[in-house]
Amino acid sequence: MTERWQREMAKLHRAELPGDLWARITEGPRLQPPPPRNPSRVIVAATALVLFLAAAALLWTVFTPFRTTVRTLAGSDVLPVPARGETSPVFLADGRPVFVVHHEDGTVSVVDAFSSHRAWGFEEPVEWCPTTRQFVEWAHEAHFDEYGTWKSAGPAPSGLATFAFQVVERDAAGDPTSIRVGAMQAPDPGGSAPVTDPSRPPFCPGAEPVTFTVDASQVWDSPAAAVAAQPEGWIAVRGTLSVASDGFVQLCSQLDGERCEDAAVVRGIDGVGLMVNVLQRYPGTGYEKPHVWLAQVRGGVLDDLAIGDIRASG
Amino acid sequence: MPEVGDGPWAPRELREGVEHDIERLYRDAAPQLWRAIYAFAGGRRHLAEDAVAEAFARAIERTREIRDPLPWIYRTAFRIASRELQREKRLPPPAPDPVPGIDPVEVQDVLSALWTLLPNQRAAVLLHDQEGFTALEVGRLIGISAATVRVHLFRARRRLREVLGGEEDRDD
Repeated sequence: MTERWQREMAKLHRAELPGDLWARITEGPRLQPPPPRNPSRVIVAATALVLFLAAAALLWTVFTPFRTTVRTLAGSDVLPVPARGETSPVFLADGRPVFVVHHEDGTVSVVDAFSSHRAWGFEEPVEWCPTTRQFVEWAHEAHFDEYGTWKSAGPAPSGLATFAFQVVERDAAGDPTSIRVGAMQAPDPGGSAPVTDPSRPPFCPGAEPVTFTVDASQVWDSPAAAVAAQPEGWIAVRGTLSVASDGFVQLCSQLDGERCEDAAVVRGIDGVGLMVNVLQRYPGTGYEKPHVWLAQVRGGVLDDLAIGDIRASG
Repeated sequence: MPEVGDGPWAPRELREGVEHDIERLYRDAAPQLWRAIYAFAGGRRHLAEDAVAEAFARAIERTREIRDPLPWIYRTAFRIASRELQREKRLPPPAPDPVPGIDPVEVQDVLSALWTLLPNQRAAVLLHDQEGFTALEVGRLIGISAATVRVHLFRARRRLREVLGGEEDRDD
């Protein structure tokens, strides 16, 4: 059994070799031999690659200043230690705010700037009161001593978290002048009852509390743009909180009625609890006003939103 | 004292003897190679002559460098033919060039059908199905693996059936 294509191909089998071909062969090659694989091609390719990389590096260098700046609060894990008896607010390498406390006895503590109490899921910053040498939570006024241990008022389920550190440099007297901050450590477990203390001890008598100031150039004016830029670590963003009746929380550059402009979704906030227990019962508590918030961008949303007296300067 | 076969001191007889080997190879293998290249080139006689003659002429010139002359000649001939076809970028000729033994009109259909194949498919099917080499031999001749040859054969035959028709017929 043969197929047509096989029968057709069989016809080619009758083609005869031209008789004069050997004579031509003995005359030697006539055609230009193909150029041998030219090693210069490799050289040319390598040179082109090097030139391309050099050009890319040059362009990167030239245009870097014009790239969109991703504004974060990134500081350093190596922090200066203030003079003995003083406390300074600083940002860690990931932008998390902490206080470096140089105690009167020469020892040092690194204390988290967020309270252990998270009302409705907000991070609640603490401020440093130099006269009482205590940290005070901005919103509910729990008081902690200079080591972060809970002292009075609340609610505060525990003390403030602290950070491990190593001394990098000391001065002539042996006092630390710079430290390298390590991992966060569990806070002292002692805390208040889970209600706001009606006694409200004085916030910071006789002094202005020390809080965090963010340079205005570091503050995002558009929550949507901040999220889109996907910065690494903590950022400062100016905006107004929008809590929908179903508890959906957003941060808006401007909130006009129900119209939320440049919105970014906020995760971790108990929107319903906030709506029912605060916004509807106590209008004008300040949540609905524009603030500078600290937050982290994670997975396209704002996380760990911190409400507080964050000031923008410059 | 230089040894026999060592460069310019090699006796004339030995050098001629090497040439004779290629000539014997030509007598044995050239008809098959010629037919394959002629069909591979779509029936271009002069291109096929150039490719075959050039391959043998170069083999004579480099005979001492070539370990296995037959595959070398096949690969060279197919490479020259491919390069010339590529350079010319021609469509298949309206009619094949006449060569002794076949009627150009009679083989026009099959040459046109072969032209629709990729070069390696064309070479594989010509050497295997027309010239009777095994897949292993075809692979050795054109420098690819036997498995690849079989893949080329499968695709080439399927295409030829599509173009020329696949009806079966009993041999007479």
